[in-house]
Amino acid sequence: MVTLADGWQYLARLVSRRSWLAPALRAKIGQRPPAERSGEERANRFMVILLGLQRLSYVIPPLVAIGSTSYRSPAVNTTLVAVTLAWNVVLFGYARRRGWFMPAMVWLDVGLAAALLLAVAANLPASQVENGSLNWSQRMAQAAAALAGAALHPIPLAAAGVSVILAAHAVVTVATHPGPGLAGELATCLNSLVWFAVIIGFGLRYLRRQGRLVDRLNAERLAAESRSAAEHARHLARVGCFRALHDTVLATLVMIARGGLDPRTEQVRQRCARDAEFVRRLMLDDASDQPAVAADKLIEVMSAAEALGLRIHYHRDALPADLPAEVVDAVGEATREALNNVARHAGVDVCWVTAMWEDGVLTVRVVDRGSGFDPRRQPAGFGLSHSIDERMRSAGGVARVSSSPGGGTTVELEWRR
Amino acid sequence: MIPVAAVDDDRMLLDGLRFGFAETTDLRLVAAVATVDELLAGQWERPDVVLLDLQLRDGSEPGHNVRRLAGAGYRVLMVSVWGDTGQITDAFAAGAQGYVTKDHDLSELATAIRDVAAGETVYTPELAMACLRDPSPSRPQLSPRERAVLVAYASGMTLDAVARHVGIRPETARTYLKRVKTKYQEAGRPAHTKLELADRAREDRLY
Repeated sequence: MVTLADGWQYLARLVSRRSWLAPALRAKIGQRPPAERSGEERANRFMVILLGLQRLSYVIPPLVAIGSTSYRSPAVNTTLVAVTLAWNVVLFGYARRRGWFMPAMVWLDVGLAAALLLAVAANLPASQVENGSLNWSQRMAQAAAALAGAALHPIPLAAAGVSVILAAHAVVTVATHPGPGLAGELATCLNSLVWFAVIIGFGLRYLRRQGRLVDRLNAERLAAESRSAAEHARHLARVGCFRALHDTVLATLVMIARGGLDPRTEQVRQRCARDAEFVRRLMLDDASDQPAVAADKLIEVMSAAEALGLRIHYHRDALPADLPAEVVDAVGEATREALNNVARHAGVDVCWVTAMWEDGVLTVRVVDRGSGFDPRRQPAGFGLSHSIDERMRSAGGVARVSSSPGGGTTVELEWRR
Repeated sequence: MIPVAAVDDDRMLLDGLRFGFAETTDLRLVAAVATVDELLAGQWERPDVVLLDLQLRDGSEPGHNVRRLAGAGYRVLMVSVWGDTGQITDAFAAGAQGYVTKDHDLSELATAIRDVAAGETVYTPELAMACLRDPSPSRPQLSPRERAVLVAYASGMTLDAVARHVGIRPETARTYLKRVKTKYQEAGRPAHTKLELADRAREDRLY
């Protein structure tokens, strides 16, 4: 349904085509950028341009001959030309914007072409009706037949449209050429009309088929590529895992087995605990669906904290893979800050990090059971540091802290989708 | 003196328990077996607490094991290296008094054993998280407050910290936790055969 709003939008777009607003307007109107169009869409758009150029070439002669006194009424002719021009602007404007013609508009075009055939012929003396440079409606009729052949589905409907134009043309020919040679005249005119429709119609359907074929091949290629990329990534991850396991867990176990490490010393026990946590996280990753960027960021942040000597009990839900990058970054860095606070102020070396995802809300909590602080006093350097709060707010989230002297500290980072 | 029995097929753990308990003043290992059958069949001193590994190599189901032990009147504390959420909640619903992972210090395990012996339920972050992420369709409905308390617990807070975070008194938090346990135990009514399932469904007025 073409509305007035569509018309205004189209005009606005014409005006601002080169302005910086053009992409924004295009997005608002819902046009897809060229790279995203399917093969079939591209075939359609190509045909729109082709048919548009055809019309343009047919519209120039009447514009040139606009004031000609050969017409019975030059004023009427000028009006007809103006109406035709305006109609084509609307017809092709819609097609350019939406990617193809609206069937209702194509039928209107057919009717208009038929009416033009009759009107322009009536406006000319009988001898000049066959004069191509004065009777511009004949070319218009060919263009309309071509459009009908391309845009009307199925084929019987297209044939019906073309027949309407044929009928009007026949009426004019019969009216201006009574007598012998009528059959020949009729055949010639009708022939070109029909063939235009057939050629353009066939050409478009072939192009569309090709477009669909290209799309299907592209899709298959993309699927194969992404499968092999996923395989490769899994392979790399496995190799990476094995290397990490070798450096940590395997090394520890081998040394204990050989008798080189005494598992009763605190240091070795801590090393074993770290290695156990590492394996547990590997299993956690394996058990959940897709690895999320958020999960990786948290692992990275926690590893840095563990290098400082912190032991972290970690649990996470399956996190969505499509969290905005700035949110992942903000939450990750805020977590890093919170872990630094634990390492520096809590007086313990154990803490819990949990990442939950429920009903579109991401919550990351860093909890320790250390010395805590009095949140009402907030000495400088303690408490919810400015950067945690700032980071979360700038990403559209919120940070909360609860603590009491001797009762541990909880830092809660929350972001809602 | 708290007599403790352990059902675990990990010999190293059992040895470690023996040594570890020897360093405490109130815990004594009275039985160390690999299956529930062995424990129920043998003539052991009656333990106050039974440590039961979630995954035993004989393929027995955790919930079934807990039911048998609880049915015999024992207080069961689940332990494991790695827990499947469904298994943990099954065991909890079957009457386990808590779930502890094996990577904690022996002192923490000892505290948990003492709490269970005193008749309390031991909530660890892992157990709280399992209750929150229970995948089974027959899981109990938890109220928002109960969920909030569980979430705080699952995040690693102590009971006092949970109470402070949620904005309630510690006694109230304890009450919520007791309520969760009751709901789970009610949800854990045995429904082994199809007929029993049908009975349960009719009871719940599902049809």
